[in-house]
Amino acid sequence: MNPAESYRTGIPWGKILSLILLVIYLAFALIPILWMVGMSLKNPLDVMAIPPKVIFEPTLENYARLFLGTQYSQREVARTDFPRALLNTFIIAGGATLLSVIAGTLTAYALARLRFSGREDIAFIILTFRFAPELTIILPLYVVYRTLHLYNTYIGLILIYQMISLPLLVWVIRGYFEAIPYDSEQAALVDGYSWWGAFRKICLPLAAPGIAATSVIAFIFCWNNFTFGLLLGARETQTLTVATSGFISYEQVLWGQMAAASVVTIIPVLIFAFLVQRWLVRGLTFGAVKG
Amino acid sequence: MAQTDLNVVTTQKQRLRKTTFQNIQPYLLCVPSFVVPVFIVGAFFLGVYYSLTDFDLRYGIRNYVGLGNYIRLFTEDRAFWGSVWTTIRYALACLIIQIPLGLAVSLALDKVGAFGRIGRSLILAPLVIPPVVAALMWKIMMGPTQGILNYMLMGVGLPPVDWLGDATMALYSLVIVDVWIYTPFVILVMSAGLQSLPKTPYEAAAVDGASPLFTFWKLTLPMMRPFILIVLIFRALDALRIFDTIYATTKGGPMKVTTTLTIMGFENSFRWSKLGMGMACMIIAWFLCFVVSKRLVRLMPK
Repeated sequence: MNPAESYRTGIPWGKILSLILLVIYLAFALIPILWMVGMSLKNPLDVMAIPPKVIFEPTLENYARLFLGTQYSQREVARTDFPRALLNTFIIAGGATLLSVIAGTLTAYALARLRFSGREDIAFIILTFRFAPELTIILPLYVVYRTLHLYNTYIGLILIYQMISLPLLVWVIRGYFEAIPYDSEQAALVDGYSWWGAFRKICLPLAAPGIAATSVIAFIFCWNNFTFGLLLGARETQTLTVATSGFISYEQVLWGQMAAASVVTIIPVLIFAFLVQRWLVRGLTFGAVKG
Repeated sequence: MAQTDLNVVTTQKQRLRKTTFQNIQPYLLCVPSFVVPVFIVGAFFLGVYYSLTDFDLRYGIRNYVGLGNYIRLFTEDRAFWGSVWTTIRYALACLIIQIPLGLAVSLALDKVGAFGRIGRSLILAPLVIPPVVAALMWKIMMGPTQGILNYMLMGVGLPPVDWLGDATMALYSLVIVDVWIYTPFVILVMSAGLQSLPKTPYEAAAVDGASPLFTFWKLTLPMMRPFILIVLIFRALDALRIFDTIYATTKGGPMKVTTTLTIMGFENSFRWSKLGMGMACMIIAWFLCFVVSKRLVRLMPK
């Protein structure tokens, strides 16, 4: 709160303008999502209605078709196996996050606590992956994966998803470790614990909330990814994002089911993001900004 | 005091007798994290190699052509420079809109207090959903006949717009999508920044009778510089790398107006099977990002 405010009397123009701006912006931000939810509840006739219907009778038909596997169309083109895609995304995003947490926490500890030459270089290299175009790496990997038979496998995808989650986890968790005063660990060391004991008993518990929150953020990023799943996976390992975009093809566009698929895709991340919103800024900016 | 001396003595002794394990311990801890990055760096160099060949995915032939691909891109390919310009235009348009808008909204949130906290939670939504899904959402809304946007425009008497089909409009429609998705990021970071600013300069300014405009221009803006820089770096680079949203909506059309470097790389590799050429595009894209990130990071006070 700006202290200057309390010295002003009269109509709070600043507050009124701010409120107007916020309402307009919130409408801009939320209406598309609400429209999408509405579309997912429309029956096929209402979906295609011109002009678009704002008031309609809701139905769960699209969701039913999504999960029961059939697609409403003149031709039964079973292009996407949605429940499978849902499972795949959980496995891949979850597996990638888990792997990154284990590897990343150790690396973060090394970068935070131990003094060794090349420390900043290693940290910087891990960070540069963040700023490279994904396709620069994915295209050659496409060839490599096909040769190594990693194409369209869970392991292959979990490995490459590290490119998303690992730099994030290393940089942010390193920040959390660095924030812990060394005295506590030193006390543990003096008491006879090895570095691993001190790590386990002091560092981990203190950084645990931050690690947990950042893991959720990493999970969200993995969940939202599109290009990796598109290029390095196929039918069996199809991710939700790829599956949802698959409802628009050259033959037909299944708007209603695509909307339902989109809603299912965004609900988990919305919930997760809401739970960790306190840590979101740190996670999104790689720990560069606190809070 | 004696305690610290004891510690110093002990650590000195320890340092003299550092075991091999202790020497390589930090590197060992980093190893698990390095398996994948090594993979990735390897892929990168492999990609560089491919860009120097005429690798075709259909036939798998690979003849070394040196800088042939690059030369052809720079001189013969008519789409190349267009896509470079499109990439830059897209990034600039995104930055010009998102940063001031995000700053304005975060200032508004700051002024509004309690509503601001609820507002911030709601504002997150566009940011955390998959960008592809957001793009698909907008694709539906931007439909020429059935889209709700044109319906609203016609409702107030304005002519309908062919958002994604019109050659001049398409790129800016995509910028609108980008603004929708990523402005919350700017808002979040700016909000965090605003809340961390010290109060005393503001109190002094108020006592001296400064106008709100003055306090903003001379106090808030300079103090927010590091946060604006962070946002600039992240947004600039994300905008240069964009692929998902364009692929999901226009796929580079209509008539190539929304083809960025990344889209061009993709098309070369998968539509025309010319992975060598595609990789050349991607290496150029990578180089662009590398240069921009280096120059911007150098501006950071860290």
